[in-house]
Amino acid sequence: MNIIEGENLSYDYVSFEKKSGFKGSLKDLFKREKITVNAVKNLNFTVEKGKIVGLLGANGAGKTTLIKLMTGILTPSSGKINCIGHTPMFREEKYLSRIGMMLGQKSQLVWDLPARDTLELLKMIYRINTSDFTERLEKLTEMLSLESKINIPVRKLSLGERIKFELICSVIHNPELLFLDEPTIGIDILSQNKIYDFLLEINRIYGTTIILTSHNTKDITALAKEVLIMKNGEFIYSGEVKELRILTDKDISYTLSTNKDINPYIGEKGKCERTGYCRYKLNVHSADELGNLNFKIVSSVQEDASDLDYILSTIYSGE
Amino acid sequence: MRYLYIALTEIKSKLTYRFDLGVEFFSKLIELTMTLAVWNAVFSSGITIRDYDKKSMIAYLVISSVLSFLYTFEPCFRLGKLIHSGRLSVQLIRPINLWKSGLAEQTGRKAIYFIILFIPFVIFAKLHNYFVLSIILFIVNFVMFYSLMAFISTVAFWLENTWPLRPVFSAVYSLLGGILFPLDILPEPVYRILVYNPFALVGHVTAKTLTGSNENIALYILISVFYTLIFYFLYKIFFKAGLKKYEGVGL
Amino acid sequence: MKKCIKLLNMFFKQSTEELLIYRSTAVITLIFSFMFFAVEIIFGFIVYSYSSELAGLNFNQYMNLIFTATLITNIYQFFFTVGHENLSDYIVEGELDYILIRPVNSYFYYAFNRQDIPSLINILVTTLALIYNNRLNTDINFSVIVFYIICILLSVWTLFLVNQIVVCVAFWKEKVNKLLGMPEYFYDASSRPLGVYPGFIRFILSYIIPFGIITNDSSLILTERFPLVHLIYIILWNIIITIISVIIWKKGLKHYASAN
Repeated sequence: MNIIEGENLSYDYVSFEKKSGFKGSLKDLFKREKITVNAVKNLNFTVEKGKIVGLLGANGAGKTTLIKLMTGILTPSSGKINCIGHTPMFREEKYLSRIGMMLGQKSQLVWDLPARDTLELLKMIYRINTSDFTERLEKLTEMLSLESKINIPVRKLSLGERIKFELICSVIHNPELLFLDEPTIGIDILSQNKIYDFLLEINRIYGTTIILTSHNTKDITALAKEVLIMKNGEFIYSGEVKELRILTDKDISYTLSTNKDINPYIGEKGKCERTGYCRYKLNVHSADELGNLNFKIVSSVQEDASDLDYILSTIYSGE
Repeated sequence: MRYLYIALTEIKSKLTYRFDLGVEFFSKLIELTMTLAVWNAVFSSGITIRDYDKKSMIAYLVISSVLSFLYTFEPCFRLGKLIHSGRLSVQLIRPINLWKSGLAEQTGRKAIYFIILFIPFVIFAKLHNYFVLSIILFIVNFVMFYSLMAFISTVAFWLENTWPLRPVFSAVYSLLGGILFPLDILPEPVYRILVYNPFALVGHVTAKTLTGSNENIALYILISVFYTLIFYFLYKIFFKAGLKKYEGVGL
Repeated sequence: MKKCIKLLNMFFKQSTEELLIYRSTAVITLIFSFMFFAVEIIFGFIVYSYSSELAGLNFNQYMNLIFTATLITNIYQFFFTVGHENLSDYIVEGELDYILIRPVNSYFYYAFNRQDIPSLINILVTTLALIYNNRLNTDINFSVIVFYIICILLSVWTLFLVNQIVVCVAFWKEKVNKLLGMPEYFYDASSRPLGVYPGFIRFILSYIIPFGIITNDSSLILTERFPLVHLIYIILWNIIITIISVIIWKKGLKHYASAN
């Protein structure tokens, strides 16, 4: 079942060209050159219920605009969008109660007060009944190990703890659709992993559909199976993460751990180098080559995230 | 040289925000209109109050209110801002004196008003042979007022917010500085005490000097210098004590 | 409706908690607001020591005017000041994003977002001053008091509206700090007998930014009859400007949402 459907979705805004110099400023005063900017062009897409989808693109590609269109903050210039059976731009209370949003760079927590106060406020805004609220809050804080922090003023929390509370604020009303913008910005690896587990758990238990934008490719590899990549307001790729590398000629690289210090690769197309005791780096052209590993001695296979960085930078720069 | 540069930067930023400048002028104009209108109504029955007739009262009020452009309270909140934004540590490791750079900032901030004020100053003061003394009083007062503000700013070490102090200053200044009415219409004994307060020196006394009815300018200059020194040393003492607390907090 | 009351309650609770964090600031603000009050009273004494009447007002009426104007400010301060101060910061710093997806009325959410609890003490003191000043006033009866209270509440809303519109300028212009202080200057100028001003200023303060009406006429209820026309005018003004300010708010939010 599709939870989001976009049909020829476009958003343009009018901007004014600024001329340089004094003469230019003077000209601007009387007649400014209008330019129409197509922030989002003719998008057709669907998102299936219960999926975690990464929305990728360089700065200014149109990701934020698309999220604003899906949350109803902006009204499309043309085309249609439908989320959970609602038209977002009407901003019906029913719709708004079913979605959540978290912006890693903005805060919704009241700075001087404990996070509990913000959550209590949200409880009223979203009309959550007390027993549901208590139960849910208990569960969410437990999942993120924040039980002891809920009564501490936000300004005294670490950045990681604060971000985790921001997340709880975004899901406290059990939204069916959750938008995350840079959810792990500026926080340490341990907290990042905790957040990944949390989001995967939320997705699994409650079936929450998650739309995620991030410049941290680790977020994408850890969470999303599917990605939508935008460039200049258009989708240039939509599909599974692992298919992405087809777009580039780049080899896939894996970090292998073995239980014997012997090269585990028996194929011929790829290359496998020893990087340390029982550690190897495997470069292959397709994931099928993994079949040529001696799994008797391989204890773990990890795809390199930096690899995705390379692929994305190739795609963004348009080579 | 460095301090001159600081002053110049401040002039530039002041000029960048011309809109603010306009709003500032306009709000002062409203204040002045209000005071003038009230006194105008009082004088409408044709009375004189002490030495003032309607004309001399208006002259006094206009001058004292124009003067008040020079005496604003930004320096008072400078330290608080530095502490809260965490920039104080950066300032402290620079080879620059915080008190002096503050004075340079304030001078730059007020440079435009100096220029605007200079014209009436020349016109009024020249008429009365006090030209040199008036200018000295003017300069000394400016430094004195700054040192008072700098001294008060040190409370920022002990207070989490200093902005609530702002309205107090405007209230005290408009009353004790003689902006709402000339202090010499008060009963003689009250006047004699009040006239020596720092706010009166920059407000009432200077306005009287400019309208040409002040003879003890030299005395007032001396008092102003005396105040400057006292406030400067108080600033030093409090700043030192405050810094200890600041470092203790480990911000 | 139930949700609104619950939210108000919550805002009140949060304001109280924040007050307890910034206790010393609150105490200082409180003391200093009384100094303002004192300056006004001293000024009144001085003016009336040279003249028994000012633009048709005797000393008692003048004091009623000062106290009424202060009372209106105090109530405005209690309900709205902190919210307005925060709001301009939120707009300039781009902290409004979350409100755009909340199922609440954002206009009222921010209007009643914070109360300034210490102002309650100012309200109390000003009320006591009013009672003292009218202790010998025989014109006061039940209907006068009701009428007076209605006018005060209308006035608070008028003051709110002007400030609200000025705060909304922040949606389009970045440096607004100085501008935010403007309504206060107009209001201070209006807490004088309107009769002292020349005609055009009187006109502006009566009909364009009707601070002059709300202070002068509200206070005159206590000693003279209230000009009904002005009351009706203020009600109409409040209704129209409320609508306009909501439109401006919505346009502002739209502008905010489309600006990156």
